[in-house]
Amino acid sequence: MILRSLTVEGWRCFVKPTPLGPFADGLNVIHGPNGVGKSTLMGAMTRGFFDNHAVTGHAVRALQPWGRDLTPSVTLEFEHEEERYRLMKRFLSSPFSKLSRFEDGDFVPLAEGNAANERVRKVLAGEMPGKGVTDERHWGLAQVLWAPQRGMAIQHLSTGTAAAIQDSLGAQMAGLGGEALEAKISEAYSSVFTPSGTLRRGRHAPPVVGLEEQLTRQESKRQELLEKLEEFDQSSRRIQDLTSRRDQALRDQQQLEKDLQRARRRAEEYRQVLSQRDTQEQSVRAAEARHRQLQQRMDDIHRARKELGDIQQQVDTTQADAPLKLKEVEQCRQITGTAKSELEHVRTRREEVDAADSRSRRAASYVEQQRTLDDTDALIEKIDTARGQLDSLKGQRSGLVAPDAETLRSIQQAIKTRDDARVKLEAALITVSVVPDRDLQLEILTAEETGLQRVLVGQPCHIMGSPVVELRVPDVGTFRATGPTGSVEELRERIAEAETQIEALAEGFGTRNLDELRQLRGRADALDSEIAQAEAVLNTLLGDRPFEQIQQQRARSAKVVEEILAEHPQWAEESPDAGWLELEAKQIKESFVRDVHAAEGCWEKAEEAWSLARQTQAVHADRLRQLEQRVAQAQRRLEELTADGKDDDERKDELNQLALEWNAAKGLLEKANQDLAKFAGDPREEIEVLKQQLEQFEKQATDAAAQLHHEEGRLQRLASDAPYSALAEVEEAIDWLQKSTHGERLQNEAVRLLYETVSECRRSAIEAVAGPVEQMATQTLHRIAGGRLGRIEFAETLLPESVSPQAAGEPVAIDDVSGGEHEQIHFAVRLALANALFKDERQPFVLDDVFTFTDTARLARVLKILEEATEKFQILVFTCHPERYRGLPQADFFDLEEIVAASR
Amino acid sequence: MKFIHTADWQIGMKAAHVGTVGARVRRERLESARRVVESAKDHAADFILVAGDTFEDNAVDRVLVQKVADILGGFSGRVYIIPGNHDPRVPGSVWEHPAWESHDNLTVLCQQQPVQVPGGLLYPCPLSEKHSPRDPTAWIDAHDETKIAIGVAHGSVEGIIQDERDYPIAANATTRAGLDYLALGHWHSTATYEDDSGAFRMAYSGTHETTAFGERASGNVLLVEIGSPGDKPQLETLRIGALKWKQIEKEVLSEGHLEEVRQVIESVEDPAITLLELRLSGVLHASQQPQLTRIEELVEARFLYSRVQRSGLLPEPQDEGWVAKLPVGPLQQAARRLQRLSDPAVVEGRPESATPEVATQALLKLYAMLHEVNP
Repeated sequence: MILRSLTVEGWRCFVKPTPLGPFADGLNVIHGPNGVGKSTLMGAMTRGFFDNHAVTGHAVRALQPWGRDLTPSVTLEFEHEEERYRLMKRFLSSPFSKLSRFEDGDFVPLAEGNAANERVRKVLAGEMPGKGVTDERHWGLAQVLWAPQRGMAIQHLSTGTAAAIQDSLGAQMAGLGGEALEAKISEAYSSVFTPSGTLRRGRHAPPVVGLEEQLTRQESKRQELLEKLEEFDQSSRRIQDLTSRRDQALRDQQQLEKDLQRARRRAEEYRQVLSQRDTQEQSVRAAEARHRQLQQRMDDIHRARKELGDIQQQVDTTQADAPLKLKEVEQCRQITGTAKSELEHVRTRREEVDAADSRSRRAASYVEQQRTLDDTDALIEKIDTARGQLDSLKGQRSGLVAPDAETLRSIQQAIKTRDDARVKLEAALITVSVVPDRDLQLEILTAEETGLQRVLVGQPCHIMGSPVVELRVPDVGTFRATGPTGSVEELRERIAEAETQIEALAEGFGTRNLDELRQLRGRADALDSEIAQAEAVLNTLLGDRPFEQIQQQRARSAKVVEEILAEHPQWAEESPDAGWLELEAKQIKESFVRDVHAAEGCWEKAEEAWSLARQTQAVHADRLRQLEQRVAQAQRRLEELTADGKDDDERKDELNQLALEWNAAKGLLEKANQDLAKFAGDPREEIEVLKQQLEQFEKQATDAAAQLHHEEGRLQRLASDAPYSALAEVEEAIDWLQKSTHGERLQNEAVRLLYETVSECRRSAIEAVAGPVEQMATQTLHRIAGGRLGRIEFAETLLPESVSPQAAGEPVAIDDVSGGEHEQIHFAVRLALANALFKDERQPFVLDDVFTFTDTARLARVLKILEEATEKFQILVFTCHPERYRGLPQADFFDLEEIVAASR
Repeated sequence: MKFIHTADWQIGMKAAHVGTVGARVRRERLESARRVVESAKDHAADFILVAGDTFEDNAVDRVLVQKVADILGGFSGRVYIIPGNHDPRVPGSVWEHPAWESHDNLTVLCQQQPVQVPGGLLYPCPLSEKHSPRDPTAWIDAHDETKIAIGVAHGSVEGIIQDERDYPIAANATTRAGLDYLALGHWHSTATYEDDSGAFRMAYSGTHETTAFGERASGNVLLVEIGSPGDKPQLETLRIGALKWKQIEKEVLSEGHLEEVRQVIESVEDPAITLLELRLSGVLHASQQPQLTRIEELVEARFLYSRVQRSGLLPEPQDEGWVAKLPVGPLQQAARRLQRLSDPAVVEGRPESATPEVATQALLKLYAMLHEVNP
């Protein structure tokens, strides 16, 4: 498509019809200053090509010139596929759209209204807006071809445009107008699934969710019913089992009852035989007992007689020893009494030992306290002497007034300051030296010292002053010497201040002489040193104790000495020998202890022997008593055994008779045992076993009957629930739900498959096209800006995302590059996309003042590329800088200002 | 001797295969039971023989037991019933219900013991468990019987193909047992067995009301008449069932075939009592989708129950017409990919969830959306 001309009327700043054109096939530069309407013309192009004529709203009303109720209209003449067309569109009042084709020398109407709109849109694959005016999204291929002011970057690439690019690149992707269908697919998908691909839940959940929930509930119910049905069958089988068990138990019970009756009969026979045997056993045991009893008595009589004789013999021997035992006890008692008396005698020497010990300790204490008293008196005397010396030194020091070290340093500093100032003053004064040839009377007018001064011949006279020294020599004249002013007065003031300071600091010391002051300081320091030494001596004597404490100690020692002398007055004349007294006391004590131990040993031995003799005598007496008791007991026993009134022979005859009776009873018992052995076992035990078995069978039968009763009730309840009928209904519902769910799932999965297939195809197609476009755009960019920015990288949207400069090491977002490079990158991208889009027919490439940040050198390269691009594209550049494009010899220039002026 | 031979009423059976009309199917079986009794009255039958499986299960609703007892109690003659393998005589079975005592003419035969019946002797073969490899008629020996001897049993005549031998009945059972007639139950289709003499002495009456699609020769009872011992029994098949179970299968090969299907459906008589199963196979052009939808609506509205199986209907693989109308690019590519996936023969590159059925539906959806966007 080639744009040939453009005419607007009643369109913003273009009140009157304003034609622009005819445009060349190649490069066209439309220029004019700001506000003349360049961007308005580009807006008129897009409205003309893409907007419905009947569109209303603020955006369209804004097309009217300010303050005028005019009808905006635009006429576009263009060529497409070797045909020439004219499109006329009017908006707002009586809107219309009319497309005419140049036929036989004139434009002949081709379509009107929406039909005309649609035909024109198709030329650039534009898309119809849903409502209102169009924006870049609806521009179709012009999204790539037309760059509005400040819009070099493509904001959005519609699916159709992206598809068209792919188609052009032979990647089997295009699809103009496919967005609505894709939106429909997306809508269908999102009505069922969440973005993450799961089924939607809640209020907007698809029907399958509710169906699945119902199905789950019904399947749960089905499971319950199946279990109940199984329970029903089990219960039925259990009843059969229980019936069999109960019947078997009853049969077993009847059989056992018969066995029990037989066992009871046998047990009765057994009991009778057993009773006879027991009787015979009792007879045997009675005969045996009588025989053994008599034999025992006879043996006991014999033993009792022998025992009595033995004991009597022991009694006699014991009675003979008794007097000897008594005599031995008496002898021991006498020896013990003698030993005890000896011990008591030795113990009476205890007082003598204590007295010697007390005397020894008092003597030692006296010697110790007397020594302490003497030492304390000597110490007190030394302290008194030290105190006197210290008081004397302190008196001398308080009488001496001397400057301290700080004051002395201050005075020294003030004297130095004064002396320095004096030296500087002398150096600063003007000195006039006069050596007269004769004696003179000088009148000093101005100097340190003024007045008349006699000067002798040949003797120099120095007159000093500042800042002027003036003197008059009578009959000669007045001499005046001058010098620099200022410092002399300053030095004098410094000297005066120093003098005042010295006066103040030395006041009270009686002298201002530094040496004398230093001597005073020396004397004071010597006295302070002596005082410190005397105080150290005194403190050493006191030993950190107050003096009163020393005096108290002395008083305590004196008191103890006085007390001891009261007890031992002879020690006042001659001090005792504490060591000798201690030795004496020790010897006395050792002698006493030794004697006591010896006496105690003798007494304890005697006591022990006496105790032993008493015990031996007591044991002997006790033994005698026991023997006498045993004699009495043996006599009573013998009397009891022989109380039957029979003699020994009579007893022997009776014993023989009892032996015969015993043998007869044993013969009868043998026979009874033989009768009993005919039974295999005890039939009574068999009865017990049978009874227990019978009880078990009775219990089994009872339990089985009870369980049967219980199970029958359970089965009846289960049957009344009719689980099969309920199951039939549930399974029918499940069948319906499964079919419905399957249908819904099928539909949902179909939506998912459709959506995912389309998405995948779209992704693949975009990936296929991005490569060639990237390459073309990168080449163009490198021609403009060199290789510094690296490769342009595209996103899935087919729009540039980043560049990859080598210096950065990683991709850099396009928004992060400079303004000029930003517009150069997007220019390269537009041109690459346009090249990809259009292979055959020439198309208008429109740039509305887009190179605002590009420098002159790079713009020259851009122009070179634009010039090359005219081989495939018609270029329309709107600019307020026509001079930048003057280097394009083949360009047609349109001065919009002139055109507007001509239209007025 | 003249009696009605019926069996396999399967009262209370579940009809999951017909979903929401299951209750109606169950009700209809009771109505058919009433018609059996009416038919016995109409043909002046001496008694009715029910050869097992009167009930679908022993755990059916006890109200149904009472209803069946009341229906049979309405017959003037005697009714003899044996438990079958679906309702064997076990503890808790339907036969313990007091309903059977509420009508004098009802006899539930629970012992293998001959009983006197009008005009002869009946040898019952009741079942007391669901499965057994034994012949329930083995005990019968009526060779010495001077009266008409008939038997009633429930099982599978040898020769019927089945997974396991379940209550097998010898093909010569009547000859071996010396019976004039053996009334059988278990199989739902009416079937008679000819003996060496050319007499039909053994037969299945079949169920009185069809239970499922594809169940042939069902919905009948047999009227049996025997003149005297040894005579050939006279059998007459009486139609009892009310519901019609119809299956239509059609292979769609061209656009006109769906129209034919519609015409066939519209010509079905009594659709209100007909359960229809429509199985479509072949290829479906995208443009035929509305016609298919119309057929589905038609059967849904008219028939007692309908089931349309269209999984065998695949989209026309060469139907390029509408695909070409799609925007060139991802949408066309997607359509072609879905066309490929809808072909069951294609295995390679098929995602797990993209079954041919799902792909077909996806394709149809794309077609419908295309027409919504570009009417």
